[in-house]
Amino acid sequence: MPKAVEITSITKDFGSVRALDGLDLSIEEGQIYGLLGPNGSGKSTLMKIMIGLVRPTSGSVRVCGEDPQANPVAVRRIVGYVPETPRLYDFLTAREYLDFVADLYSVPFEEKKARIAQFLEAFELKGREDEMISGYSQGMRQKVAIIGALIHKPKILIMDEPLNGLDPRSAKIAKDLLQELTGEGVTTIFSTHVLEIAQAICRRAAILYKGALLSEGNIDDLKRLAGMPGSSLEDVFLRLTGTDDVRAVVEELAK
Amino acid sequence: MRLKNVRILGSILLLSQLRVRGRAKQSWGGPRGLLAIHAAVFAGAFALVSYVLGIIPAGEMAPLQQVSLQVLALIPVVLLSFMILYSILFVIGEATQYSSSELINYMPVTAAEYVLASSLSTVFISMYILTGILGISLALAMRFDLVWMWAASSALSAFFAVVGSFVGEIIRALMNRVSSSFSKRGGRSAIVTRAVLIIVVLAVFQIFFNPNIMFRVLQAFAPQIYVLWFLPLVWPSVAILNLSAGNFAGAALFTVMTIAFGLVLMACGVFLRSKYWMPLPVSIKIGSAGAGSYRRAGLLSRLGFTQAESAIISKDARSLFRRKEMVRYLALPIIIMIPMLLTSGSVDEPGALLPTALMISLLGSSMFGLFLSIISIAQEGRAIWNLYASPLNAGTLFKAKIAAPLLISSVPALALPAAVSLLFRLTPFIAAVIFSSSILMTAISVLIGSYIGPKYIDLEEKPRNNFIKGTGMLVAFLMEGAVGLVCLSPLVLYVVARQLALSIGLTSPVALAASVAVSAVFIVLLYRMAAGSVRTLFAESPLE
Repeated sequence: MPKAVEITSITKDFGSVRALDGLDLSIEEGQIYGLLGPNGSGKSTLMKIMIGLVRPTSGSVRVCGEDPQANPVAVRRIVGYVPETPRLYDFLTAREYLDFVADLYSVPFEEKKARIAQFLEAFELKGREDEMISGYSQGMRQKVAIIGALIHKPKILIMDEPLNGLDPRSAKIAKDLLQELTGEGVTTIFSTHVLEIAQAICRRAAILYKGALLSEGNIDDLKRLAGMPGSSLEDVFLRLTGTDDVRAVVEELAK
Repeated sequence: MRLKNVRILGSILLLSQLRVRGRAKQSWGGPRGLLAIHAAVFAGAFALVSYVLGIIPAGEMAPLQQVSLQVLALIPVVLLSFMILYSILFVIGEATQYSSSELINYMPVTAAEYVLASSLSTVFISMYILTGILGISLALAMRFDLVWMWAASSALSAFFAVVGSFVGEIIRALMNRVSSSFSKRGGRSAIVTRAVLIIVVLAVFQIFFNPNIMFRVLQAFAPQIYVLWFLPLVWPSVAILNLSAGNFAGAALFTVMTIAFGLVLMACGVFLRSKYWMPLPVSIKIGSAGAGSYRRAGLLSRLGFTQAESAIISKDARSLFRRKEMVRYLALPIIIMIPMLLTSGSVDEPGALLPTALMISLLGSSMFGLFLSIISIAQEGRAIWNLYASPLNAGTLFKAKIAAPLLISSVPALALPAAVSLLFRLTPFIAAVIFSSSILMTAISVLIGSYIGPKYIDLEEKPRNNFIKGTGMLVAFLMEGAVGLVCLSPLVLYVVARQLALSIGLTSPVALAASVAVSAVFIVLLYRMAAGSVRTLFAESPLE
């Protein structure tokens, strides 16, 4: 199977803080791949390196065979990216914003018009598309950001907590859409804190902890590797990241 | 009303305002540091004026003595006007979330407590104006034995400063009302109306606080205070003049009326704040739902810009008209030009107006170009990831980011020379000098801004968009001045020392040609420097 992303010995230091520590990862094309890990484990940094937003201190990355540091434009042309807290242009309407993004990707006029209308309908933003984004809720902004990442039909989707703030119906639409796109050969790499979502839609996942790879494989592999084949992904995650001893904390707080 | 609540809330709002202005980060930027600054301004103003008064010959003191009483009488109304205008500007620039206004919804704070606390904190932050004026007036009062008058004037000025802040609260409430009306009405007209309103406010502010204009107004207004006794604005002045005339009953009456007037305005502020409470930012609809159109390849594409470049240019133009913090830049050519025009006086010989005409054109267009270009990338704020995550190269970004300020500032670069040429009836040669200087300096300014902007970029949006670090702005001004001087030196020499210029063969066409040639060299050089600056910035996202 061809590789969508190949990461070799990636290290990233922010001053004295090591965000990624010699990480190796290989993600095959045409799947939904979950990046799991507690806050500060390096997921967002890894995603930013994949798209060339951040330069690694050492190591190499290939996205569909392209180096995002050497040729970021080629990589960004085939990638759709949703950051953790997507900051949009508040002074634009959703339609204007999506029109702007489509133009950055040189989407032809008729195609952008049709696709924007289609996505606005699907994400239930129709009727509010000519309102300035400044008046949107967090969930609505998230939907606009997701549409922005999909507008140019990317081969790879890199999404940092993409379902944050979405209502259940929109989250379901997003998840179904990702599954649909997988069928069309699109690779989705996304991070989430909601392990049920990862369990439900990811074929494979990696668990990061303090910038290093703790475990990688399909969900059953992760459970087996942790020695917890019958457990939930949440239990596996907590065990692997050493944060399973939460009962004492909860009991203390409840006093 | 619980005064303890007012004190606590006032401190919070003060800190909030300091942070909006970025002052709280500095060691002297806290409330105590600010108080020390206010005291230093008072002492400095007093010492300076005392020194100046000490060296003026006694024979020339008589007119000054008469003016001193007028000054003391007028200080309260000047302070009131200042606070109103300050509040208007404050309302425009302040991020809603930092006015902490929503706490009324869930904290045990009344609208009256909020209005008083907000007014006091606003007065405190701008009190250096009050202390500066009081320092000057104390020096005058001591020199002319008007200390009692000064004490009364000071007390009434401080009170009127707070009253001015109450008016600011009223304006805030009304702005909320207007904004919500815009929100309901929607459409591009709402955006244009708001932009025009902001420009008018800024222009009025500039005119009002221009020292020359202010002096003329004071001269005309001061002798008529008694005639205008029925206006609440002059009640404190009438009280002071009564006191100076020994009419204590009159002074007491107008003092009481002044206090009553202040309380009525506070009550109005509380009433309107309660009535038009709106803690959330309004959203404006652009056209009716579903009616919006998509951008087609139009004029920009015919000018040679790609789809992506055109998209960025259009987006930046929208940003300039739609964002409150950006609209103020649109006002620049107007606010620079109007006070200069109003104080330019009249000169019979058209050639003598060249420096003024040149200054109006150059400052109006080149400063505009400099400001627009220096913030061109930084105004993206944290939304800049949209550009970094897109398939753009640094060249595309650079081209789009210099095109927007260049295209927009070309309007005043052509309009201002045309306006001054017609207004001052300049000769064709002088008009040509002004036109070419204006166009060249605008191009140079845009390139200087594009070079400095990425080097001193400030993408932080909280508590307030600064766009550019202070050092960067200073460096840009210095660079602009130096390059401008070098480029226009042949013309300047011809205008300032014509005989010397002619003696070295620098006739008018030669001077013009030399300036154009030197400018062209700088334009090429600065273009390369600016492109490199954008390339360096675009190599890695500056966001963490």
